[in-house]
Amino acid sequence: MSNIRIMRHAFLVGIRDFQMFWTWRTWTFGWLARILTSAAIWVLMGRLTGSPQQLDYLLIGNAAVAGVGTFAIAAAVWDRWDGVYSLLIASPASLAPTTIGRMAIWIFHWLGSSAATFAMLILAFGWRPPLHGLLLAPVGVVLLSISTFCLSVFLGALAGAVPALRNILINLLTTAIIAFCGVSVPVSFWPSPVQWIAAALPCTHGVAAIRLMMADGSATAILSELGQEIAVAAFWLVLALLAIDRMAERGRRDGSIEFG
Amino acid sequence: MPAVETRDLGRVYAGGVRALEGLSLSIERGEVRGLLGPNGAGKTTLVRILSTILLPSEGQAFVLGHDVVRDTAAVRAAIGIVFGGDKGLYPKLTARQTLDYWAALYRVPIEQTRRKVPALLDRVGLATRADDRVETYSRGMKQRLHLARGLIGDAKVLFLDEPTIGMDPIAARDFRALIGELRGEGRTILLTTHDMAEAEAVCDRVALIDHGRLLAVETPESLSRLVSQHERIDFEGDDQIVQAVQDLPGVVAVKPVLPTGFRVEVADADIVHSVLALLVEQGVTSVNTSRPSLEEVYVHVVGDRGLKV
Repeated sequence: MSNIRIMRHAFLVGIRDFQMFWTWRTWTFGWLARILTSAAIWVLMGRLTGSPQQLDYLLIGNAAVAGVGTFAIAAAVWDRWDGVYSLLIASPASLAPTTIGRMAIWIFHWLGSSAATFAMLILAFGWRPPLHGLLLAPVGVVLLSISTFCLSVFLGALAGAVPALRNILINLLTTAIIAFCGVSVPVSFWPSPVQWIAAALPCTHGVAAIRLMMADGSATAILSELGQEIAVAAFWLVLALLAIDRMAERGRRDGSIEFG
Repeated sequence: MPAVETRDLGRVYAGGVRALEGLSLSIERGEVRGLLGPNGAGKTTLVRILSTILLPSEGQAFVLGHDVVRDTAAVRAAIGIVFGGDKGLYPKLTARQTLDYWAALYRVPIEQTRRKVPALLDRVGLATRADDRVETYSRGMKQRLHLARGLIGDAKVLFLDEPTIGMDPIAARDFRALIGELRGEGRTILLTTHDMAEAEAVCDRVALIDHGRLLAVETPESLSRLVSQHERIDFEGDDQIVQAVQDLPGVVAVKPVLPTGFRVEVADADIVHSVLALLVEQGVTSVNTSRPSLEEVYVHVVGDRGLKV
């Protein structure tokens, strides 16, 4: 209960972070314009291939993960920038609820980005996915966003300990999602070791589930993919929870936790 | 049981840089202890170890009897940390939201938080600005909010790391008054500072450290007495008188001081009488003897290891 209370307060800090980056105008006309431009490029590439199946493949994948993975890892080190990291460590509470609470706002950023991309593809590019698939897709998007968030928390813990890694980790995450998780390139395209890694990464099963939803896949197959996405989320969340306080302990040992 | 105790405490950073060495210190409950030393002396390293954000390389440290390495949770529940500067607050939150958040972190029950937050804001003079964002506050207001944050968990031991740095004199004076109130409540305070006047004003005892070692622990008055043998006599006179004074046994130095005077430093308080007698004999009418300030003690002890401390 007390951790939820802490997360609620930390989430407010996250909202303020978000407001520092975006107003509704800059989010709509800046961020969304960028995301939608990317989506438009995928549409054009899909049309150039001349294959409706490939076009659908690109649209579903890229709309599902639009914006996913951005900002959250960066948010993990903002406690250091604000000079509160040492105070949080020296408080009686675990660092986990504060870190998770502050980062969580970006899940909503991802969900909004994905929803807007689906909407634009339908409204502006005449894409007509099956209605039942479209109604079910948010479940997959929510799950893949949550699992990406869990991995982001883990990577954020690493970035919190070694802030110089922050940008590298952000780029690794977003590149891995786009390249290996079945967003634009089928997972089966990659060699087996890469496929194994992809199976443990967020988005892979979520995107696969959304594709099945859009293609009248069996309920069993859809639930299986969603279940695997949940398992991936749980795996990274456990690692994240273990990592957050361990990274703080590492900082106590190496002297990297400063006042202010 | 002392509020804070260290035994042969040492800390070596990566690259072999030694920040603390064999530091043993004891701070009684309810005491306000100043920690003075030049930059790099090890003051902040000591406070970081006591605050549980840094592990010692050797030795032990206890807060209210709890080992800072093994009983970390108990130490964290008992301490409050306040440091100077603009950092350590969420600039986009209001003061009320800030204290609500820290109350949650210190597991203050919600009902108690509802009473405590307004009371603390009132105490530090921020009640009327409680719902303004911290980024709109002056340095002094931020520092008072820092102190309120440090008190939200009802800390028995407070670590104040240069809390008045950058504050204007009025704000610093008000802040020191708050520290005085906290002492009245029986809280133990460890205050690191460069400000000698601050240490003299609020501290029961002062510890001088340099190169990670403890040099002296005294009351501000006792520290002044440490250099009483360097008692000084200021006078106005000519070069002939200066030469006569210099020839007296026990006179360490005679230095010009602006605008027209000279300062005599003697090696022993007993010499003062001889110097005064000579000056009167020479017809000098403007003479002044004075005790050293804590600042001068600091310079002597840290800068002149010839003193036996």
